[in-house]
Amino acid sequence: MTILSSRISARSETFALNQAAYAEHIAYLHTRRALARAGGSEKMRAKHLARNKVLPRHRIDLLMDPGSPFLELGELCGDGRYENVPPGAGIITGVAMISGRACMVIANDATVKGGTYFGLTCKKHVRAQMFAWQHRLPCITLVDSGGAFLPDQANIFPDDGQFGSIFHNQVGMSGDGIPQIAVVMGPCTAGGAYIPALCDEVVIVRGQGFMYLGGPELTFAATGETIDAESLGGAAMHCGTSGVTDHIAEDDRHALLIARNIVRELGQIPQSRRKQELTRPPRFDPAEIYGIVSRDPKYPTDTREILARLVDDSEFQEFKPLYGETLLTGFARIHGHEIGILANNGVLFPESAMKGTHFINLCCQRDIPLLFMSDVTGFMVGKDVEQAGIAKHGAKMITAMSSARVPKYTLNIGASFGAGYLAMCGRAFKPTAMFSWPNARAGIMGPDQAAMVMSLVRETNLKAANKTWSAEEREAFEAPVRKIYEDFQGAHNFAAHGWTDGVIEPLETRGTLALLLELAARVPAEKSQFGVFRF
Amino acid sequence: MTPSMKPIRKLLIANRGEIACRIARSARRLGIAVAGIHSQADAKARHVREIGESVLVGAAAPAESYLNIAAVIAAAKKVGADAIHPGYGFLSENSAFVRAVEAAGLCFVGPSADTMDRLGGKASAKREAAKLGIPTVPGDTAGLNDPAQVIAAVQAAGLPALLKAVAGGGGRGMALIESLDNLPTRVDSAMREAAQAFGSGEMIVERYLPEVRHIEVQIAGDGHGAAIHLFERECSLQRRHQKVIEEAPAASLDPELRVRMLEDARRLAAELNYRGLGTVEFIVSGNDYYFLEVNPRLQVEHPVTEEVTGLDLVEQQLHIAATGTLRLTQEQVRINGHAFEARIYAEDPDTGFLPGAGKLHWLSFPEGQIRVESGVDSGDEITPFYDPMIAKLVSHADTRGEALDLLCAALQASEIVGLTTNINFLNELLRWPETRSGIMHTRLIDARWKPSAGRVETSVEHLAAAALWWLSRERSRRDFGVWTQAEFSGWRTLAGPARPSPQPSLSLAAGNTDWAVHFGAPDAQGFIDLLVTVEAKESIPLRARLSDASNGAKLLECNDTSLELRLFADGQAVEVHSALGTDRFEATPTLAAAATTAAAGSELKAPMMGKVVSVLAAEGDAVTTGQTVIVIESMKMELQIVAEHDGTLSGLRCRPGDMVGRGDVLSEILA
Repeated sequence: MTILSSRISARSETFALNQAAYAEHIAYLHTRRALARAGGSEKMRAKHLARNKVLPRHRIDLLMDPGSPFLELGELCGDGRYENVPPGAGIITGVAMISGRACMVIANDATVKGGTYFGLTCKKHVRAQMFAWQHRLPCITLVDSGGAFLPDQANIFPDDGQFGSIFHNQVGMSGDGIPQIAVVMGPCTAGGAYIPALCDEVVIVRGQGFMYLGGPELTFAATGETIDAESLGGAAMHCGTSGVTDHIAEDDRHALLIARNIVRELGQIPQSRRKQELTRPPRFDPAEIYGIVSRDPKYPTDTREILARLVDDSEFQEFKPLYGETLLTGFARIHGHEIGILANNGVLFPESAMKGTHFINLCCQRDIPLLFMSDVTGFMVGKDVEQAGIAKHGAKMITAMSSARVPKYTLNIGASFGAGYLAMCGRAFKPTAMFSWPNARAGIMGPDQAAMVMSLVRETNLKAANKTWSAEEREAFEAPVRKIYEDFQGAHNFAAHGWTDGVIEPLETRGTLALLLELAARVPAEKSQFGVFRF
Repeated sequence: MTPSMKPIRKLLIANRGEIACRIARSARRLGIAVAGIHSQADAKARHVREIGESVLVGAAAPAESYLNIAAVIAAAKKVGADAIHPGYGFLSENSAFVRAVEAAGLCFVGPSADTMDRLGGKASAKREAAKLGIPTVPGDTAGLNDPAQVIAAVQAAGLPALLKAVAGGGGRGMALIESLDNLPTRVDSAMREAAQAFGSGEMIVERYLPEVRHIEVQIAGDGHGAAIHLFERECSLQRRHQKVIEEAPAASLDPELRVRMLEDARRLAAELNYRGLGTVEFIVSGNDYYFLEVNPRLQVEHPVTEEVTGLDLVEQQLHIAATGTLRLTQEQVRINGHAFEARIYAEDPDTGFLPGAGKLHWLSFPEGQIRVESGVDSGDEITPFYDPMIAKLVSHADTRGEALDLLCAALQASEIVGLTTNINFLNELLRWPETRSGIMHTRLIDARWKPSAGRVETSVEHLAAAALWWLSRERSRRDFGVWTQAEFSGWRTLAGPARPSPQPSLSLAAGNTDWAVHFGAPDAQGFIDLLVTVEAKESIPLRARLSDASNGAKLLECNDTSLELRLFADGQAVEVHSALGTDRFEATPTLAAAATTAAAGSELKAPMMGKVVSVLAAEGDAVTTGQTVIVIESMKMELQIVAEHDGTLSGLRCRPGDMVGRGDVLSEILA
């Protein structure tokens, strides 16, 4: 095995400047996360607590095994997308250990707009379900939601991937033997009542959890019947009369304790089918990544230096090091879990794509999970590469990547543009999980390229009309285009739209990947069936 | 020659615990085979394991096993023993046992049955001593029924005098007479009270000696009139007449007084034709000494004599039993240096010395300069059936001060986890100036020692260790790969500097104090930030790491302190032992404090349609959980409707004969 070496000097000026630039990324990331973790406004939180309810993140803390990890998905989803809604879209989703078993926890945050569902709330909930389904994780939903956020109807109601998909996924997962548990800790009206109703086992908190298709007001309006909430859909009624819910709890803590006890009785805990080796830290300090990642996209980052700080013992069994060298491929371990890594180190050439295809094929054959570390501006263009058949070679790589049924993880460490974004397992290829570093960018193309392409088109049109434009006019045209692309490309924008599972910083990468790999190791292997490769 | 005058080849040790082990050691060294006895409760006890051959003599209760004469003799026959050593306690002073042993053709290692009978009662022993002119406590040892006789006896004994009800005991039924004023009235009232309390007004009158020392002389006799003494021991540190600390020789004794006492004891043994080893107990008050009683057996505290004389007292016993001769002349007995003994008990000094029972998770005593006599090992149990003694520590040095220091050090280095012990109490006693200077009396402990009133003073280090250990145990109970590995403890992405979780995960409780522990995630070096909140008031931030040390111990680094400690789990409890002492915490996950069952409903409902047969409580009656309130008949069955909780019956709305429907509310119970 090869031990990666490093040529970085941590005392260089470049290193210090890069480090300073990265510190800003981290500071911004922490600010956004702090907002997400606080949840709703001070006033709403105080109100929540005054009702003897536990804040949603604290509910999760209580539900989890003490001192166990929490792997959150979509923490920054919805950031800046809705007025007065902190990052997170009013819902918390993540993997937690409960009674010794990894579970997907989905918790409404009633302190944010009453826990109602926006479009991105639906998307985040559905994404958590898909992650759970893929990993066969029991879903524990802590329901405390006022239902749909009515003004956002278009993004909630009609389409696939929206609110209705939550039900569809619950049914599908239950059918696949994946337990669905709900804890009703607040009102669930109309559609909201179906989330618990579609679960295998339901806990409800007395005097706090309610389930009805129409609340007391609607009931009165529709039928003239006068009834209080407790009799209409309270815990005692549903546990004793309707049988809609199964367990009655006296308060949040009691409900969470019951939920833990339910999880304890879910049968055998899936065992890992992989033998994890001993964890060895990288030989080089991962914190040096801050000084290595180039602060200016114009100057590339040496991906080998990053790899040396990410993998166990900095050990990288490289495959085809001398061929297609703009794509590094090789085997490594993260916290003792074997992984096949494809990492960009320049633009993709036909040889890089062929090498990538070959390597993905190897990993599928050997049942080794794949990690795509993207830092690529795209595939090479020009006569030489077109004549070399870059289109079919790129297609081969995409076919291999798309067909691969081993766990696939995508991590944008710098850039992911154009077809490079797709070939490096973009969201469309349903990676098992996808994260960006805070410095990472992605898009069809970079802001400068977009501005240039747009102004070239404009210039062609002007020429056809026998017109010209001044340099100022050109700049005035390009600037907004550049701005749009700049705003689009950031890691935070991708996370806010739910196009990634979140932003993680370099020092969290080994941990995140290790937790993910452990989950994947407890799911049966799937055989990859490749589509037609063009040779 | 009596039947016992032949070499002992195999010895049955009719005892348990440390003394059985200790006797076996000496016997083996002398080439004598040994066997033991045990009760059902002691089937796996250390004395059974150490002796190697043991016979079950009965159930756990001593009366059915260790005091069962027929079973003990049968055991001796079964193992082919030719002699029985009774140890101390149990049958050691029972003349009927001695007779039965000898009738069975076996040798009893100890005095004759006749000697025991003569010395058995305190009164008869006192008469024997008085006959020889040995000073006894002034007073009349016979029970007096006539108030006039009692008054006369008080006047004869001198003041202050103590009236003791014959039928009383344990300090009850005693009256102290300090002046002769109103004497007849005082005597009358004391006798009347005794008659009311114990059914008999019979009184013993003795001179009251308030601050006396307890000094006892070890004697040995050949049974034919030859006797020697093996010098004295002082056992003045007593708690309610129980010896706590013993030493040899006495702390400081007038030389002339000492010579007289030693000689009186020796003379008593010689005159009684005493056979074997025994102890003559005296009390010393100022420059006077008084005979108290004779203990015709080996004493718990015999090791201090062994240490200063260099003799093996069990060897002496066996020699006398086998040969009817003394091994030594008086001149050959010399003493050297000073020895102390402390008795470690499983008892809680803070709760009135309540004896403890249960498993000793860990037991470790210092090795080398200290002699340890113990009948238990790590993992053994102290059962409630017998004396809860864990060990005796015996120190020996050139001077009294050195021996005392050695004992203190040994107590501090002793590690006992699993049961509350009196070690801290012993340490406190040994530090008292009275103990250091050797000016002690038998009521010193009772007068001076105060329990700590349930206060729990716990070091933060122990809290941190208990919390971290609990956390690692929680993790290891649940193997889920990296998810349960230590470095992933509390892992999550950060939103700034890592801090302990805002939610406590664990409650540690000791006494009346509760500590809530918030865990952080470990850093690269494995240090975890903890926040310990005390009673939701004070918050203590700690930074700690717990790692493995040698021999199963752990090393805690907590803030600036490093501490080696041992941790044990006992059900929900975590026990921590270190140089700082021992703490026991009840450890409960925070959620476990949540309600565990849903509140019971207040309504009494008919479980199905039927006819009310009877109503067993009336409106406004108090009812208790489980009480049947209404009986209905339905489908040929009688169904009882019971109260789910305590309360008052209210809104009763049915009478016998009523037809009720399924789910009808028949009454309510208001809490």
